[in-house]
Amino acid sequence: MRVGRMRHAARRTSFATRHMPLLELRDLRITFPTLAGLVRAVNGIDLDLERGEIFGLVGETGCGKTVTGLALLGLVPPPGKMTAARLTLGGRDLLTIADWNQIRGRSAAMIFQDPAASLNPTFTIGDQLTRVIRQHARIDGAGARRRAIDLLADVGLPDTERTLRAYPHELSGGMQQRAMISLALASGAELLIADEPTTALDVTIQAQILRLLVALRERHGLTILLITHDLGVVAQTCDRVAVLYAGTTVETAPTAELFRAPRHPYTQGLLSALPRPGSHGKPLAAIDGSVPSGFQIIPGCPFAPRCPFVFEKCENARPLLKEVAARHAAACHLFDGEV
Amino acid sequence: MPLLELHSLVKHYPVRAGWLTRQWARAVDGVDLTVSAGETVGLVGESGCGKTTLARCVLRIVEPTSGEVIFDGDDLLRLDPVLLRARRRELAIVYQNPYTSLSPRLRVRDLVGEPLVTHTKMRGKALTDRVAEDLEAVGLSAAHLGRRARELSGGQAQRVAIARALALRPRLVVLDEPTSSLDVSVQAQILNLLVGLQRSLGLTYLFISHNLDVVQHVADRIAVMYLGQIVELGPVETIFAAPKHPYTLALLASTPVPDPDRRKPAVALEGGVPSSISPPSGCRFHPRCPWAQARCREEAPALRPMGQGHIAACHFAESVSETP
Amino acid sequence: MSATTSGWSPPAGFAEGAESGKLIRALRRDPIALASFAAIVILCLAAVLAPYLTPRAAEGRGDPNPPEKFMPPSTEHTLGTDHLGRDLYARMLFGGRTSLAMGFIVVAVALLIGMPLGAVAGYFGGWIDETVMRVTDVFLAFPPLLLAIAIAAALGPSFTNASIAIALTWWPWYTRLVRAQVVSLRERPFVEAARVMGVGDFTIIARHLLPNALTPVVVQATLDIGSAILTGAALSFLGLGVRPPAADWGQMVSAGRVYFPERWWYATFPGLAIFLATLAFNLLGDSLRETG
Repeated sequence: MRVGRMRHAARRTSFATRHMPLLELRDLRITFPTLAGLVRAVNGIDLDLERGEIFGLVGETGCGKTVTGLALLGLVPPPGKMTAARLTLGGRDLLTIADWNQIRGRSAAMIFQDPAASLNPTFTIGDQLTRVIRQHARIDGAGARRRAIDLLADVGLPDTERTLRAYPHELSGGMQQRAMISLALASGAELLIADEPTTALDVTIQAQILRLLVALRERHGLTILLITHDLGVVAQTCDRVAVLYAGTTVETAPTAELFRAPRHPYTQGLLSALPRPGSHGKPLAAIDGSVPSGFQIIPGCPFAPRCPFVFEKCENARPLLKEVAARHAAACHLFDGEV
Repeated sequence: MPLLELHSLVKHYPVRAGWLTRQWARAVDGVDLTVSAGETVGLVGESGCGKTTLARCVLRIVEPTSGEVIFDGDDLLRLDPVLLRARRRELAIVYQNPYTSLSPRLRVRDLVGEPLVTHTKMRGKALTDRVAEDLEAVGLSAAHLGRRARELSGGQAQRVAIARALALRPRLVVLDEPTSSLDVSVQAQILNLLVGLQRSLGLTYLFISHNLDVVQHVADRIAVMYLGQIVELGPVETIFAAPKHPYTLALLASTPVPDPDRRKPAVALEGGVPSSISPPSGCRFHPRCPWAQARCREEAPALRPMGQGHIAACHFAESVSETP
Repeated sequence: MSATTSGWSPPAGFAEGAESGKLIRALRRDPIALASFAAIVILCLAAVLAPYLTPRAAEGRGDPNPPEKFMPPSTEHTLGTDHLGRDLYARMLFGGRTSLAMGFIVVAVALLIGMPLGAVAGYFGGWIDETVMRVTDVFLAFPPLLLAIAIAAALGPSFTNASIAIALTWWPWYTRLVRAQVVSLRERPFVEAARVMGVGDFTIIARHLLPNALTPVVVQATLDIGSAILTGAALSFLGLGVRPPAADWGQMVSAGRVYFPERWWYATFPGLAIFLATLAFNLLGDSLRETG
């Protein structure tokens, strides 16, 4: 059933959008007015998601990765303001959209770090799942139930009959996250935005959820935007990745390329700051200082104050993303000479 | 020379099961562990394995159900209150989140000065000077004296927590996930600081973490816990190179390596950690263990020596390898 | 700007400051708070500076002036005069002294009894907690005004006795409030950290618990000053509070109501003062609560 629906969707969109990215975002800016002034959470982020890829959005606290994920669904928390030069999903312009509910839980769904907070504690998993199914398909109660059981099996929940009758609190964290993913699948979303989906889970459970996401991409052609702080998670699951710093993209590349040949000093710093087998007894290459606050207006490169390669131009002019290799771009004045 | 020895340490929590019935959660269920002066022992395991409860028993934040906590020759569990208070000066703890472990209303001067005011006669200018000195030792300065924790970044606040813990120059420091909430770039700063302070002050660390990469970086020896028990213990290189317990192997295999060329094909473990109220019979790991045999269901394996200070609790430790 | 990394970050936006900081923020943000605060300041200043704000301070203190009794409001007597010919404006200035003072004193005394009891009960728990809480239960089982009337009647009418009577019915609320706060703070890591360090119990209560439990207490106390003024006025109205010739807004309403509505000004103006003061404290308290 699921496959049939996917095929239908593919046919409907084939001419217009086959060669367009599923998601196109240009120059996203998000600001939050506060008593102490305007906080610039995002300062011009671009994103292109190809159909069926897992794209990693990686960065540290305050880099704007979560609010970027929220912005794609029109969920920037008030009083935040968002602007963008372009935002399309499957060829549809989202900047002029009147009703975000046509997108949320239909074309795109989102899962969060804490699945317990996203599931309604007063309804069983089955209630929540069949409601979503029946919102999206003309189907009777028994049919919705059968579909719900299929979906729970699809996300690897054992004993589906019992899980249907379970309340969220009766499930472990990993199982709750699986239930959240099944809700996203039930809505027929093409794009799944996963915001730190495994951060609250133990490593053995994290490995299970990550494998599930990869499997769902393969089985259903799901496109996944994986927001995380964990470079290990990115390396293990993502096809391409964008590294964010202080609300801007500093580097984007295919995952293998980014880890093998990071070009931006921040990416290089992040990778060498990781403790890893063999680092015992040696000092880690820490990046001095800390992330700038969103209050400052930074005329130059936001990483300049912490950068070991800083030179005069970095303080004055903001570096733009430049292609440094095939599909590999970095925003750093070090590459101004190269073409 | 052992600074800390735990003998058959047990902590059971009462759990209300129903009206008038009570069950026991076996948070720590018979742990023996020795920590030598000057070394770092890493305590790893997933949530609910008892690693944090174990550390809290050492500091007597929770009262162990039974067992002994021998610190430098004294059993802390049987020490009278006056002597215990004196001994407390030699123990300290750094928590995961400095914003909740530092009093939100107090300023850095009072936070770092509090242990000195409590245990010494240091006051006034001498106190402020000493606090400023300690702040410099953790990479801050006297300029931070008047700040409150929330006015500092996560890394700076954790430095304050470290300065506070070290103010009385303790001998044993329990580090409870000290970098788990920090960003990678700041985590590296704090790990370097902790390693440096250990060398300059001759500290002994009990380092609790769920992150194996972090533990291998700082620890000399690693103890792996599962459902309240130590399942494997040994020098860090041995544990990483040749783990003998299937659970250790699974933990290592599940840790995402930041290297796309070394993608891990399969998931090492199915299912989650069972409840500590009614742990599985025999080997507590057997329901999740790919190597489990009939014997594992019935007979609990004892910790057996594997050579060079390496011990593991598995009936088939000698034959465990990457693939079952 | 969210902190997803692993679950924590400093408190979002403006971290809560000391109580004075909170007041300043409320005043800057909320015009109603500013107006209420201004009204309170004016009322308090008027009470403190009463002798300098009227040439008829002696009348304000109670000296009668029979020839001018029951004069309606005029340029000579802005608010009119009472049944003994005393200038009502002067009487109200001095009446504000007792009414406002009673409001502040009642709340201060109630806090002084209630806060330490609540903190101790919440921190130590066990039988201490049980005992303190059962005592508050007994007090809270009576309607507060009725209890205050009974105590005031037993002690005899006077400013001090009325204050004591009201404070005695008030403190259990603070005990409960502070206890609930302390119980929720007691298990916080920073309290545990202090205990591990060997910091004494009472130092922990004073340094680590009470300052963090203060916010809702200050809000409640602000709201309560208004109510205490009202209750004090009620006791005076019933003749259980301040005795003539000393002035008090409640007692003035009581005396003036006999002549209402012909000599409307006598009861109306003190009534308005009670209303204004109570409203100002309530609005300010609400605004502080929302500033959070």
